[in-house]
Amino acid sequence: MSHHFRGLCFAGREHHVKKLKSMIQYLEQRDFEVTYITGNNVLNQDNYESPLLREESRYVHLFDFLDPAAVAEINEANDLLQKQLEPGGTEIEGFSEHIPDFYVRFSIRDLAETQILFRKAIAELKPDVVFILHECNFWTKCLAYCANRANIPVVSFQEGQYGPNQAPPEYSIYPLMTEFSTVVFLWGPKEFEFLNTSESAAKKLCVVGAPHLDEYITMPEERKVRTREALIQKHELGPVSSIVAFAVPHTMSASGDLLKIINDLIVFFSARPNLALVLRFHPFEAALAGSLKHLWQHLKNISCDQDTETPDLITAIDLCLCQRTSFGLECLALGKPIAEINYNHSAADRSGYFNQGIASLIASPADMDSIPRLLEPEAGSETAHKTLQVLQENFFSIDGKTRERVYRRILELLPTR
Amino acid sequence: MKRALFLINNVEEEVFLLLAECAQTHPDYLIKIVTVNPHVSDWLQKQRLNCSLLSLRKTKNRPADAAKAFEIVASETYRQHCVPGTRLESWKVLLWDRFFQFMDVDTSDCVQTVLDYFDYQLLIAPLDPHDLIAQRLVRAAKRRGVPVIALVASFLRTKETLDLPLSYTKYFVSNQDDLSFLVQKKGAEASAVQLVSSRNRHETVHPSREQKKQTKETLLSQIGIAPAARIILTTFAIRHIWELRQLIHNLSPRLNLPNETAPLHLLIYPEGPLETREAETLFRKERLHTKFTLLDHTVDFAELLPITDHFICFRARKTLDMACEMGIPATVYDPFLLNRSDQLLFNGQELLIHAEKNTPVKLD
Repeated sequence: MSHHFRGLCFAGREHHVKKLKSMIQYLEQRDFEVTYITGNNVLNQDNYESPLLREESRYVHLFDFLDPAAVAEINEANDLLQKQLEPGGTEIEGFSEHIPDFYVRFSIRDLAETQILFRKAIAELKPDVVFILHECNFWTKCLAYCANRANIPVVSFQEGQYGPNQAPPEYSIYPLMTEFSTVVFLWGPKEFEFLNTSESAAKKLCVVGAPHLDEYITMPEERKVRTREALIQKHELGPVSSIVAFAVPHTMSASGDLLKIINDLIVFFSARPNLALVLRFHPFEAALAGSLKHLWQHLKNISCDQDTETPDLITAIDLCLCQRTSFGLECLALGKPIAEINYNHSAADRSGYFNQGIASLIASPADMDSIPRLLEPEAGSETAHKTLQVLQENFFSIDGKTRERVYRRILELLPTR
Repeated sequence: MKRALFLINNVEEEVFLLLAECAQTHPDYLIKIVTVNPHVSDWLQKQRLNCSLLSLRKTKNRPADAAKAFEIVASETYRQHCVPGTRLESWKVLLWDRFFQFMDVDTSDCVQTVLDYFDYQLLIAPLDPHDLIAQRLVRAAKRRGVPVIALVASFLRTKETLDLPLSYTKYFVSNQDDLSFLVQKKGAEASAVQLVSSRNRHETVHPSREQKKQTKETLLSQIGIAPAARIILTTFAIRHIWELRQLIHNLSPRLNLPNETAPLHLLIYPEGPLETREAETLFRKERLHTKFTLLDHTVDFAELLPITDHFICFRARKTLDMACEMGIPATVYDPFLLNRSDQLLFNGQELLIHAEKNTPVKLD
C-alpha cells in the first residue's frame, strides 16, 4: 500500500506503546506510515526499546539525530540553563531542600538534549503529523512544542480518567494538555469538562471514545474464551471458577492501608481455592510488586500480572476490585463488574465508584464475604441503570468505532494530496 | 574523643578502604557507622562491624509535595525561565515528570531527627548523588557547620556530576582522574583531595585476584569461546542501549573472522538484573548477523578483566578505572561526546577516540 501521510509517534515508556499501538496500527492499515521515536529514559531506568521491539514497530532513537553541531548546541543551552537557575550561588533556589540536586541538574541537561534533538528529528523526518499520548510529559511537551513551531499538526489522546484539578489555576495540568496540540481526542463528555479551560482549548477538544478499547468491544466470544484460558495457563491458576482482579492503586494516591488490604485479600482467597486473585499493580510500582511477591508466591490461586495488556486482562476476569482508577472504568466499558475496596471510612475518600452508585463497597475484611455474591450473573442488575449513565458521561460511545472517528478527524487536519 | 558519623547505604568494599584511610588521618574521632539499608546492616555484621540501622518512617504526602512544587515554580527564577532559543517555559516540561516525581518534603524532617539524635562533629559519606538520604544528610550537616568528608568510590565522573555543585570539606579518592576532576572541574583545593594508593586498594578490594590460577583458556572455555580468541569486553546498562547497538554495528565486520588465528570476540557484561533480562530481546536483531556473548550480571566483573584484551565502555565509570589499573587497553566509546567523556577523563585522555573517528578501529 502506498502511504499518503508520514506520522511520527513518541513512545518513551511501555504505556505509551500500549495505549497508542491500536490507534497507530489502525492508521497504518489506511493512509499512514508511522515511525515511533524514543529517547533515553535514564531517571526511570526504563527499558525504552523493548516495548517497540516486541511489537516489531518501526522506530528511531533521538540519538540517531546527534552530530557534533547538535552536541555543541546542547552544551551551550545546558550551560546557559544551569547558570540561569543558580543566581544566588551553588544551590538552586528553593529546590535543593526537597529535590536532590542531581535530579534537577540531570533534568536540565536532559531538557536541552531532548528539545534540540526533537527539533532536528522533525526537520529530518518531515512528518505530516505528530502523535503523542498527552502533553503533560517531559518528552511529549518538547516534541509537541517543536512540531507546533514547525506548523505540523499534533494529535494527542486521553491517557486515563481525569479528576478535579488540585493545583493552583496557573499550574493546573489541564491547560497544559491542550497547549501545543492541534487536536486532543477524549473518551467522553466528562473529560471535556476538565479540559475545557479556555475558548482556544475547547476548539482543540474532540470527544470520540476510547480508541484502545475498540478491538475488545468487538472481540468475538471465542477469542474472549481463549484470552481467559491464556491467563489461567500463564499463572497456572488451576481449575478456578472465577477470576478476580485487584487493580492495586498507586501508593501515592491509595486510600486506606494498602498493605492491609492486600494481606486480607490473600487470607480470603487462600481459603477459597476455586476463586483466583490476580493483583495488578500500577505500572510505576513494579518494584513494590516484586517486594511483596513472597506474600502470595506459595499460593496457587493468587498471582500478580504486570504485563498482560490491560484490556486482555479485563477480558479474562469476572470481577475487578479497585479504588479510583481508570482500570475500573475500562472494566465497566467492557461489561465487567467492579467493587470498590477501601478501608478508609471518611466520606471524602469515598469519591470513587461506590459514591457514584456503580460499585459495592468492601470496607473491611468481613465485607470480603460479599465477593462470591458479586460474581453471580445477576449481581450488577441493581446498578445497571446508574452504570449506563456513568458510561455515557465517560465515553462518547462504546461502539468499537472510535478509531474510525479519530482517523476521519485527523484527515481533516492534513492537506489533501 | 570527638564523634564522627559514617553513613553508608550501599555495599561497596572500596569505600571501606577509603574509610580506613580516612580514620587514620582522623585519629581523634570515634566513627559511628549508620545505614538505612538492612542489607548493608547484614553485610556489615558479617564483616564484624557494628552499625546502627536507621528506620526513617516516611509517609509520602502528595498534596504537600505538590504544594511545594507549585510554590517553587511560582518563584521569579522559574517563571521567566525558557529553554534557550525557544519560548518553551521550562517549568511546563519539568514540573510533572521530573520535579514533582522527585519531590520529597518529609525526608528532610526525618534527616533532622537523625542529626539531633546523633550528636557528632564530623560526617563521612560516600559521594553518591543517587543516594538521596546521604545527600540530605550532607546538606543538613553543612547547614549546621559540621565538616563533611566524601569517600569517592564511584559515580564521580559522569556527565551529570559535571553540572552538579560539590562542596565537601575533604575528599578521599582512589585514582588520579578523580583527583584531577575534583580540582579542575569542581574547584576543590588540591590539599582537600587525598589520593589513596591504588595498589593497596587493589589488593584489599580484590585480594583473590593475584591468587587466581585459572588460565584464560579455562575461563574462556567456561563461557564457550575458543581459547585463542582475543576478547573485547564491554559493559551494558539500559541507558546505553543506543551506544551498544552502534558499537556492535561498528565492530561487526571485525568480529570472529574465520581466517584469523586469534579472532576478536565481544563479551557483553550487563550491569544488573534488568540488563541481563532484557539484553537478549534488545539485541536479537544484531545477533542475526553478529556473534557475541551476553553474560550474566552475577558474573564477577573483576574475574573477566584478566581474560580481556581490550575493554570498551561508554562513559567514565568504576569499571574503566579497574581496567586501567590492570593495564588493559581501554576505549571510551562516546559517539559525538554526548556523555562528555572528553571532560571526564584526565590522565586517561588518550582512552577516548575522537568523535568523528569514534569507532574502535584501533583495536589491533
